[in-house]
Amino acid sequence: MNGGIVPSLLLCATLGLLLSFTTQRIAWTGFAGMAVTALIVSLVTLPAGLANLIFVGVWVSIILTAGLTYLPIAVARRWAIPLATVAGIMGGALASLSDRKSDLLWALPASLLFIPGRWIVARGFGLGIKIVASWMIAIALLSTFVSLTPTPGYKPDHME
Amino acid sequence: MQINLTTRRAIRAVTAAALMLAFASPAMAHDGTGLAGGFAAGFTHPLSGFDHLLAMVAVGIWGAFLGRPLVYALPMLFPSAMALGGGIGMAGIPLPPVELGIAISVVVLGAMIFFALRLPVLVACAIIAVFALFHGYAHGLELPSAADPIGYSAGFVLCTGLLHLAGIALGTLRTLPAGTLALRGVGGVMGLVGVWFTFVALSA
Repeated sequence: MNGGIVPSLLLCATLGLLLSFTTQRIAWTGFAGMAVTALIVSLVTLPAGLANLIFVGVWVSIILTAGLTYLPIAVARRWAIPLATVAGIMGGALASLSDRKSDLLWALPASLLFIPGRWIVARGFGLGIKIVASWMIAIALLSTFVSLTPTPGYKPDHME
Repeated sequence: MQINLTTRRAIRAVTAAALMLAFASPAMAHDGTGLAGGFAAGFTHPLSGFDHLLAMVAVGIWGAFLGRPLVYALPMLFPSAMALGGGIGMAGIPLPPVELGIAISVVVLGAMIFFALRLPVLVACAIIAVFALFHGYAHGLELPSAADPIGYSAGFVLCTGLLHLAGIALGTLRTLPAGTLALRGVGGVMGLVGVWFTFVALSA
């Protein structure tokens, strides 16, 4: 239910959104830190019993990272690198649990969203990025609830 | 006749919004649910239900009427409140009749646009949050049954957000001479359609 590339992709994209509000140096440092941490953690063998915990951790990480885009820029800069590292740990853990570790390599470039993102922020349209960050928060919230809710099987639509 | 920059922007925005709405089915019932999960099913789901679609577009138009900060605060608040509503639905916590709540949201949002009401920021946010809870609750009830709930959630939220942006794009019409009047007319029609939804929900 939680598998596939989507969680990693959302995690990396959300980090890219946050890094859009930082300086170029912090953005590239955050990206490199996230990528290296993720690759290292992906090589560690994690017990399958941690899967649910890791997925919830991924969604919480997305909520925190996206939420930070709403705080003043100075705060975002201060927390960007630690959150990039956390994202790397979570992304690596997802890859470690996955049968297809190549998903991580496909997801990592999504963090490079900060390149067009910084361009957009510099032109005064940072609000657009914050709106997209709010979508990430909503997806992560829904996914957290789904992770914590047993799948009941088919149920009729609310309009049926 | 020379068309000024604002007019051209408004025409582009309206064209983009119209193209997005053109994908919407006029049918009221939502049909992309159940076992048919995944991103595509989630993305098309809001477009297949006229009640949800109208409410989403209305949020954007009303935000555009209200101006800063609500023009961006409402589209930011709605998805998170909707997700919370989804969580309440998944947890099985009872809410008042959801279909009625959704129908009333279309009536109220249409009325807000029709009367061009400028409410205080907190009041507008509270109204949107309550309606978002209802919209999210309805979909939270069915979300776990989707085959790929994460892809479904991503598609659903993305489409909802784009509908808000389409509403904001339509809202830029108010910069045109007759734009405000036209938009208020659209709000009035939305409100009337919402009254019909309410009637259907009450008779069900």
